Amino acid sequence: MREIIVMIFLFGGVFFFTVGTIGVLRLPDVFCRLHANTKSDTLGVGLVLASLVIYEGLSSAGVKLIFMIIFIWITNPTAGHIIARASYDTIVDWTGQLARQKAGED
Amino acid sequence: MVFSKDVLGMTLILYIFWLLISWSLNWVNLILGFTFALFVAIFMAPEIIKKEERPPFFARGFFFLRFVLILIREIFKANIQVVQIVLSPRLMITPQFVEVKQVMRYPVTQVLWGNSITLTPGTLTLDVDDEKILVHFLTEDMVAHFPENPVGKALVEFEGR
Repeated sequence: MREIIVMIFLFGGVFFFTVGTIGVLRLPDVFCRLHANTKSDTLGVGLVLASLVIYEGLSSAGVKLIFMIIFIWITNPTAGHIIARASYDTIVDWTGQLARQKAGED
Repeated sequence: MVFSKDVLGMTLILYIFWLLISWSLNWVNLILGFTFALFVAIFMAPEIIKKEERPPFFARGFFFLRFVLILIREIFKANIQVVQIVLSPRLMITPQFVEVKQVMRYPVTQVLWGNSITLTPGTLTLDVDDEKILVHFLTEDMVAHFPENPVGKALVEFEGR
């Protein structure tokens, strides 16, 4: 029974990872790609590690995995935010304009 | 004042973290862990979040827990939306930048709110300061739905307003 729950969580995580990767390949510019990347990576890592926690039980490894989930959930959106802000200041988006000019600043 | 309340609280948090990570009750572990926790807390004393920079976490713990649960629900919703957009044959997106008002008062909740915006459906934080947040929206109808974001409401309640 436990194996079945672990399998469901694991395949869910892999599915969201796959969708995130397809999203990075399909969407047009860096900001849209970050949408796919930050969201599905966060849930993908969460589900894969949660399946490992269920498999492992609340042992020494399980507690470390829970801490990994917490820290990845804090750092992943932060990393996405840093990439997005750096791109906003420097990169030309898919319509050929600087993103900053498009938003009407400067 | 080296042993202020903040430093002792940080020592306690680090010590509990150490105990959970090391997962043993050997006396060498206990003493060594406490010593290192105290040293790290004293050295990092200027970096510890001050009382006026955060809402009272313990007094309002129930609201913080509720915020976390709502955030997890919204992450699932966001991923379902990403699946719908990415796997549809034609990309139905209208990307745009919008500046929204900053509603959070404390720096800690501003950080939590910025990260939550990135994780909730269709939005991505670009820039945060005390007055406004620059948000990138993936689709048009997300802009209209943004003010009734349940995560933001939960965070405002956590702030105690």
